[in-house]
Amino acid sequence: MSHLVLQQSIAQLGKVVLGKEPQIKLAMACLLAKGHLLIEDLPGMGKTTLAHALAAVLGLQYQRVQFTSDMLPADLLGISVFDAQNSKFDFHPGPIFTQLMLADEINRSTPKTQSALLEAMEEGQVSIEGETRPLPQPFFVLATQNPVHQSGTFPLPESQLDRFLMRISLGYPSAAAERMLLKGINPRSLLKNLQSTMSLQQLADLQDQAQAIHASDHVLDYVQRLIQFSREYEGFSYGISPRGALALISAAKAWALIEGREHLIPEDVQAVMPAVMEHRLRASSHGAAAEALVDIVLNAVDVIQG
Amino acid sequence: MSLIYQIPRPALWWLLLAQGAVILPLMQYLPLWLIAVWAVCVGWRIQVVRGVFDAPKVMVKVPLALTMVVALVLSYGKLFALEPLVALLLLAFLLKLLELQSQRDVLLLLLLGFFVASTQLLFSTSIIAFLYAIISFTFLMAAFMALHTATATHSFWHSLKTSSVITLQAIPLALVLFFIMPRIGSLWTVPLSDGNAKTGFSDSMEPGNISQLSKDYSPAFRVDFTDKKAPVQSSLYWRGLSLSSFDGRRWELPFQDRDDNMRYRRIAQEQRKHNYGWQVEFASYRRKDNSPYIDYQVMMEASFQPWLFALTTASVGAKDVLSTPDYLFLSKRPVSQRFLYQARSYPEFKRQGQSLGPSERYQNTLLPSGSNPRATALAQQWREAGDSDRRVIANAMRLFQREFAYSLQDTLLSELNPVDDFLFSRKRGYCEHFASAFVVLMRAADIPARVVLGYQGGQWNEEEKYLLVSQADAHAWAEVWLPEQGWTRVDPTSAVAPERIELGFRDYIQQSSTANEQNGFAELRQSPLLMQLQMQLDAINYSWQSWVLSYDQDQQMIFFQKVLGGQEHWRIVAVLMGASTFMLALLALWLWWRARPEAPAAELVPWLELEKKLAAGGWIREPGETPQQFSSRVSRQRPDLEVLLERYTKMAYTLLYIPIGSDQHQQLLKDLAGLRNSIRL
Repeated sequence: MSHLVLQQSIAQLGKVVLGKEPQIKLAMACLLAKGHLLIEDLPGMGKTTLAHALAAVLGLQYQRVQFTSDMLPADLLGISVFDAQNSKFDFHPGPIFTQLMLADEINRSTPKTQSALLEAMEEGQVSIEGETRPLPQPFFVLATQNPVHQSGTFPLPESQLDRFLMRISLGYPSAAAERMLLKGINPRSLLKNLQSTMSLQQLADLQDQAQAIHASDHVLDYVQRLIQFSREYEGFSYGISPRGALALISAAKAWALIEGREHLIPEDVQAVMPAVMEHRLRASSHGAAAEALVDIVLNAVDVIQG
Repeated sequence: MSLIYQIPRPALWWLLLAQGAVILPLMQYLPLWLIAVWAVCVGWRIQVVRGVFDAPKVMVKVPLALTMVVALVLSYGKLFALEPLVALLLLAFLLKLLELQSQRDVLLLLLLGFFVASTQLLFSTSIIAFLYAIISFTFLMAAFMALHTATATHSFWHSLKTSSVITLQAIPLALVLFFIMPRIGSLWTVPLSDGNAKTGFSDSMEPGNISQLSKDYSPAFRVDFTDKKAPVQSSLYWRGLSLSSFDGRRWELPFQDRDDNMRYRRIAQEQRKHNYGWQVEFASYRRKDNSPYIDYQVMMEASFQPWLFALTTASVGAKDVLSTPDYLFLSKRPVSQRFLYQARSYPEFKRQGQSLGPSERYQNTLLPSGSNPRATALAQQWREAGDSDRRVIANAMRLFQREFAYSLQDTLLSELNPVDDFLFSRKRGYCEHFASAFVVLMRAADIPARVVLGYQGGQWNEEEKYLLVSQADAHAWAEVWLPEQGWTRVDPTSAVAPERIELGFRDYIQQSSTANEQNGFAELRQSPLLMQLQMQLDAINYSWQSWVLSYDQDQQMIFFQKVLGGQEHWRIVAVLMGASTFMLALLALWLWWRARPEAPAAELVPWLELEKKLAAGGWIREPGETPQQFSSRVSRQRPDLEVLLERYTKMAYTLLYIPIGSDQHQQLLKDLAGLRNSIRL
């Protein structure tokens, strides 16, 4: 049953975001694992479309914030305004009070604003003017960023990157998908026709199911070998943290759920590994791409036994 | 100075601890002021470490060392004896503490420590001393460990742990060396400084000096009877020496016998010329088949006296030991270390038709004129009544039995005529008083008589089957010459306190009703628990001595013969090599066992089996390849296997999630094996 819902959702998303099924599945897995998603790509690759489509299919409230370099935390979180009539302060919630927030071009804003997102992402609540306000449930942040080397960007620090469960990139569309675009069929126009495939309750159930996926000792051994290798390998400046390891397991579980299984197999771990680990590893000598780093780990660690 | 040569603090603390452990047992034998010296040195060293004091200058050190040496010489009166020399070594060991500057000094001090710790075994070879020495070594090793692991962040006690392990590891090696190393007899003997070192009684007897020993439970010797049966207490008269010269108060050896060396040489010379008459008779008696005898082995503690102890009419097998005319045994040198000898006694041996030579008769009936007049008068009165020798003896015994008490009180008699004092006014006393008075009475009645010193009885150890004779068992009795019987033992104490003879001294004190507060025996009583504990401790010590300390060259040869079947060198070498090979093999086995590859988890086995099979066909899984990826890679090249491999992979994965041992698990394993067999490469 749950599998069917998920298949429907992915099919719906596939109609809007053409030829990107792996990324769609990863995005779904990220949401099922209650994680936040970072999409890194060049402008015009369909990041916003994906975010919009996700919100529509899951039936979530949606807000989009365009991050700019002159943006302040109050622009994101909200502000108290003095109401002269009632002679008291009224709180005007910012765009963050939503269920799915698209933080567009997050690395264009200053670190100050970026860090305003921190508490919200980790705790599901914000503190404004000494008052802690809970955010709606569920709360997802879907951030997009341009490649770091582009001008006018403030790279996200490691601590903040760590708060994103996954980082994916969409990449150029396939030739067939591009032909459709060129033919004038704009997928965005399909957005308003998208039906939400599940209720909030169903989403919460799915998240619980993802948590409950069985992981055998064999798979946990494999994950631990991967983590251990990342810590010992001298090509990395630091290894994967326990939070990273937890992220890997929960993402893999969500992936297994999407694949229609109730148990974890090493393939699940391998499938989510690049998305989960890419932004958590750094080579000790500059120049090597993060993708290559994950491949080093995957190729070096034996799946079956240590 | 470079930092790495500095003394690590834990090493210093361990050094001080080890030093304390090494010094402690030596303090029984050496002057106590050395403790004060140590305390000063430790205090100074600690202040230096804390940065409060400077290290002592040469101007301080040299006079200090010289003063100490002078103090040592003054307190001993000489330097070249064992104790002063050990004390000198110890002093160096202590004073070096003031000179520690680098790790090298600590190393030197620790090596010296091993040497000093061994010196306590010169004074005592008991098992306790031995175990203590091992503990001291462990402490010294701990200091070594602390010195060499200064950079490691171990806890303070870690060094002790490691050194204990090292000590334990050394034990097998020590055992092998103990059994196999050639036993070299002592190349030289170190004389202990004499004086108070002598234990037991001396070569003379006067009122009070045997009763003094009644509080001394230190062992005199231990006897191992060949038949391992508890002997009859009242027959155990261990004769040591006979005293026939009397000055009115003190019994001594005859004047010509007082120098032990001279006496030994004289007897040796006489025996070279001819055997004594009794020896000839004794020899022929021994050759008779039906002569009853007792075989036993005596392990004698150092007494620093030349005489040995044996039951009546014994032959003793030991080197440099002579039989004297009075059936006693004299060693060429004083017994200055534990001494083991075999003896055989013929309790019923009597000389036939013998006579006492005139000089001997004179010697054994001589009394100083005018001393003890009342005793002399009493004996002469018996004699004048026409009594025979036997009646006179019986008279004396009856007198003791009726009117006298066995007592530890009041043992110092009057200076003048002590025998009269004892016989007519005090009427109580210890064995030496009875023996002395009895012999005086006999001599006054013109019966040749002498005092015999030795031990009576002993304590039977039921567990280890040996007899422990301690100093408290020291006893004096009399021997009288009877024309038809020769020298005959008469123990006046047995008339006064027969229980003393029948029970042995210790049991007499513990059990007898006649031993009470008034005669001073009751205060010697011990709690039975303590006594038992002492007996057990003694048993341990005895086993230690008879099994370990008496393992000499002869024993070693017997051991080789028994265990190796011969004494040739190649056997010994072979055993040594065999033993070491065995130990190294054990070690190797253990190391291998520790590093053995872990068996793969049971649920992985089917998959690994498949991998093995595919590897034979040339397909090897990359480490990063999951089973599915691998099987699909193989399937691309061998489409015919695709279905099989896919099923197999799926089932192998399923196996991961099924409890081991369940029916389903068994079924899966069977199916997998079937599938595997149907794969044809």
